[in-house]
Order: sequence, then structure tokens, then C-alpha cells
Amino acid sequence: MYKYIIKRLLMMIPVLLGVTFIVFFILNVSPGDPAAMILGDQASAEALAMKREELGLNDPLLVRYFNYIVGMLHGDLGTSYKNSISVWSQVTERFPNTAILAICGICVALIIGIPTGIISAKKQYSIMDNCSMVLALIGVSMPVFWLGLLLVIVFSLNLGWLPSQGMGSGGMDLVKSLILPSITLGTMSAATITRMTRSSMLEVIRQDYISTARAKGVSERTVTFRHMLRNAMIPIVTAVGLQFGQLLGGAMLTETVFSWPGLGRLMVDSIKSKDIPMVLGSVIFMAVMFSIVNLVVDIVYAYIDPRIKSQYKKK
Amino acid sequence: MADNNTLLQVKDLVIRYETDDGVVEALNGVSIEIHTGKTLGLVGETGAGKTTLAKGVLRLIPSPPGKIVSGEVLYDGKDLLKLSEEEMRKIRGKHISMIFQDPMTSLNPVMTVRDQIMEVILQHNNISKKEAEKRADDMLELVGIPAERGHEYPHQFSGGMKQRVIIAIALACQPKLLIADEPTTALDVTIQAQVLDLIQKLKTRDNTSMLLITHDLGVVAQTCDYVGIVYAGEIVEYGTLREVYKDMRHPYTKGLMASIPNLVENVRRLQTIEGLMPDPTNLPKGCKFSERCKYATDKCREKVPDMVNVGGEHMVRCILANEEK
Repeated sequence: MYKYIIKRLLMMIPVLLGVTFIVFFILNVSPGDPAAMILGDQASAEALAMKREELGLNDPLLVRYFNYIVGMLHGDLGTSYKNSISVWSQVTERFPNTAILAICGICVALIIGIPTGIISAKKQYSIMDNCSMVLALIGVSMPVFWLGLLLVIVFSLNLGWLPSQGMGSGGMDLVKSLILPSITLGTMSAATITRMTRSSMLEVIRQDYISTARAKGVSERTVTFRHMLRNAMIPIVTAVGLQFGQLLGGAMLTETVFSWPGLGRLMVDSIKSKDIPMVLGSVIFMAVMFSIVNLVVDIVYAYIDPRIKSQYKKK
Repeated sequence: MADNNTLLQVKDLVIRYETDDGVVEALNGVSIEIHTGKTLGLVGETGAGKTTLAKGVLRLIPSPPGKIVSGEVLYDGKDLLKLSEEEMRKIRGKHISMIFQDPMTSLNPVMTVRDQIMEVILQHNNISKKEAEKRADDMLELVGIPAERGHEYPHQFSGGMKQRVIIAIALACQPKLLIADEPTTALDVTIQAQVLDLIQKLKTRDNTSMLLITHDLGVVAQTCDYVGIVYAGEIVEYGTLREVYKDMRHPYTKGLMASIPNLVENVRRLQTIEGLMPDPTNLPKGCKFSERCKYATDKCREKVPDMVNVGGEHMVRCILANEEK
């Protein structure tokens, strides 16, 4: 098992190299001169040239990529073009905000998604099932920012119950500020998780071992949770993991709508101001987070399904 | 017909599956009877309704689409079809257990085999977890699996071993009736004999009755006291093993027996029964077998023949039963 984890961690290296290469390349071929951006329109040609030299922009692309990787290995993600603060400190400062929002969002999604999925599967084709499937379809197709704006209009502007912007100043304030963005984020994930739970439950619901369990005389509740849900868990965990990984990477739209000072908004702002090191740093950070969540999901598999565990042991 | 020895009596059980493509008439008025300590073998082709009958007795027919339309299932004088779900759960596993066809898929893959045996013990006995564990281990030993292997998962066992675990689960609470739905179909021939011996041994020990479903006439001859031949959701011939095997009356039973490969004579082709079983969504009006029967007359196609007693406990559903031999 440990061997497997170490192997998976090592496998993250090529993934991250690939991600950095693609992002680095795209950002460097996109138009706009970072030197002009930093020094402003009035800067003289000499000053611009000097700045370019200083930033290393005159080196060939591959050399710059190599230098960047070397820096990254030393824990240096570069310095922001905009305000000369180190990218690493900015990203790590914003990450906890994103993390807390992601955790609340996924909780909302789980609380809604899993029970709805189970009920839908157990009462397949009932009114309940049809309603929840229609709602789930609306949930996945609804633009997030639109839902966010609607919630703001109803609960902040009209009713005035909850704040619409920012994180508040800790304590109850924070809890209140979390509610709307969490619901916004959670709704879409809930829809995906509902659908996944339903289809995965339907797959196990007619299995022979469910008949065996029923023939033992155990209650329907036990049959549902101990026998069906545990066996249906793998695809559900996969879906939850993917959703959570995405949320951890910063929900750009939601964070923008609610002015949430998280990673997603940092990235949007950096893209707008062509702050290449900042964009690059955030993307790499997100990629790392995503890989870690995926690894955790794979480890959780082993605890759910003994067959997978015995496979891991062999590797 | 019913006497003090009767443990289970099924009367005119009708079960249908209502699907989008029409109503599948899976079981059309089946009556059987099982005496304490005796074994009834049900023989028939795939799709004849044997499994539906077995699941119907335990009320395990998936609904929808399945529906028990009418009939009675009398166990110890109580009609199981009238019990509440709660009361029915006390019957399942404790009084009547079931062994399913395919051991490969009948065990929960994410639970250890000990936990799966313990589950049924804890459900029906008010005992501590430790005691239940002890009993589960005893059960494992009894079916020939070392108790140390109890913490292993089903995928670590072979097919025959899995079927042993399933037998251990089914017999853990010493039920009065065991329903075995083709318990050996999915196993190698060598393992089949072992598993059948094991079932026989445990059955004799606890004086358990058994409903054995199979399409293997040899297995029936070896293990059963009574035989019922099932065709298109009806019993066409019923009697003691001796009566049916020595003096078969229904053309379908004769066809089945004739299709057993003969090792003594030099036969180039296996005997078959011409044609296929009728479509259960569109059954013929009269005798269900009339389409394939070489003795069929117009009278056969008019109405379903009644069960006729041809001596002893031997019953046949054929208008010619008493005429020709």
C-alpha cells in the first residue's frame, strides 16, 4: 500500500511537468508585452528593453522554461509582475479561503446529492425519481454565476438576510458569508453526485447478493446501506473527488460573483492584468491540489473495496 | 392432501411480471407440498418458472415488475402472503432459507465471509457479537472451510468454496426449509457432487426439508423424495420419485427422460423435444405443451387439462394420462 502511494506521488512529477509546459507555452505566445504592462505606457524604449532583459524575456522559450522549472524546484514560483510580491506567498494566502469554500460546497453537495440519489434509485421511475432527475438536469445545466446572482438578489438585496460580498470578519460573519457561495457551488456538484449515486445504485440493486441479503431477513435499511451503498460507493467517490478537486482549484465564477478572495479570483484578476507568473503559479498549485485529491480518492477505493486493496498490494 | 407432516403448502400460486412488452405469465396456478424432512425436486427447462416459484415462496420477487396475483403459501399453517413485511423478515433466514444459483455473484464482495454469516445469526438470535462470531466460525468448519479463512473476502475463494459459504449462511439459523435454486449448476461436476453431499449431510442432521430446483434429472434421482416437473409455469407431473421415474405419464416428462444421453446403447444423436417453450407473454389457450406434443388432439388445445391422480400421490396434467402408457 505505501509502495503504491509513493509510486503515485512519483507519477505526479511528469503530470506537473506537462501542465507547466502547456501553460507556460500558451501564456508566452499570447500577445502583450509584460514589460510595457509593468512600466506603463509612458516608459521609454530603453527602459522597456532593460526591463525585458531583467525579466529574462529575451532568452529562448525553452531556456526560460528550464529556468522556471529550476526555480520551482527551489520553491520559487517567481514574482508577480504587478506588485512584486512572491507568487508563492500570494497563492498560499488565498488558498485557505478557497479551501473553506470548497469544503462547505462539497458538504452541501453530499447532503443533497447522496440521499436524493439513493431515493431515486430505490424508487426508480416514481414521481419522486422523475422530479429529482429533472431537478438534477436543471442543476447541471444552470450557469453557476446566474444561480449566484439570483441568490444574491433574493437573499441579500430583497430579504437582506445574508451578505452578498466578501468573507466578513471571522466568526458568525464568516459563517453567514459562506452560506450563499456554498449553496451556489454545492448545487451543481449535488446534481452530478445525485445522478452518479442513482446510476451506481441501480447497477447494484439487482445484483444476486442483494437477494441473498434479503433472504437473510435483514431490514431494508440494512440492505440499502450495508449491501447496496457500499458496493455502489466507488463511482460515487470518484465523482465526489473530481468535484472536490475542481472546487479546490478555485471556483472562478462563484468567487467572482461573491467577491470571494480565493484562488479562483486571484487567477481571474491575474489573467486580466497579464500577470504571467501569478497565473502560472496558480495553475500549478491547482494542478497539484487536483492530483492530491485524486490520489486520496484512489486510496479511499482500497478501503471501500477489498478487491482493489489486494491489487494495490501486488504492485 | 395436507396432513401433520406438511411443512409448506403452496396452493394455486399465480405470479406475473408486468413489463412494457406485455404481461409475462411466469407461474400459472402452481400447487406443491413439502413434508418435514423430505426433499421435493422441481425439474424444468430454463424459463419454466422454477426460480419464480422459489422466490415467490420467500416473497423475494422484485416488484415492480413482479406481482403475486393470487394463491396461498401456507407455512406451518400461516399464509406467508398475508404476513406484513416485518413478520416476513422473521421467516426469511430463520425458518426458510435460500441458496441461489450463482455462487460467484451471490456473496457481497465488500464484506468478509465471517461477517456475512454473522449477519444472519445476529439478525435472528439475541446473542453477543462474540458468540455470533463463534457460531459463524463453527458454521465455516461445518461446511469444510477452516475458520481462519473467515476474515477473507469472497474474491479470495473459489466457486465451490463460495457455494459452501452460501450454504453456511443459509443453514446458520437451522431453518426448517431450505430452498436451493440450482445450487450446483455453476460448479464443476466434481465439486457438484461434494456440494450436494454437504447439503444432504447437513439436511439430515437438522431434519431440514428442502425444495431443490434443478434441471439435472440425475441430481433429482439422487437427492429427492418427491418430484415435480414444471413446464411453462405449471406443474405437469408430480409424485414420489419412484412413481414419476418408474411410471412417467406426461409426454413432456417422457421427452425429458429420453433426452438424457444413453451410455449403453450406441446412439449417434441425442434425443430432443421438438420446438421451444411457448412465449410466456403469449401462452397457448389449452395445454401449454400441446404445440410440441406428438399426441396432441384438438381437445388438448381447447382448455388447460386438470391434474389427474393416476394412483398413489402421482398426479399428471394430461388428458391422455389414464389412457395410454
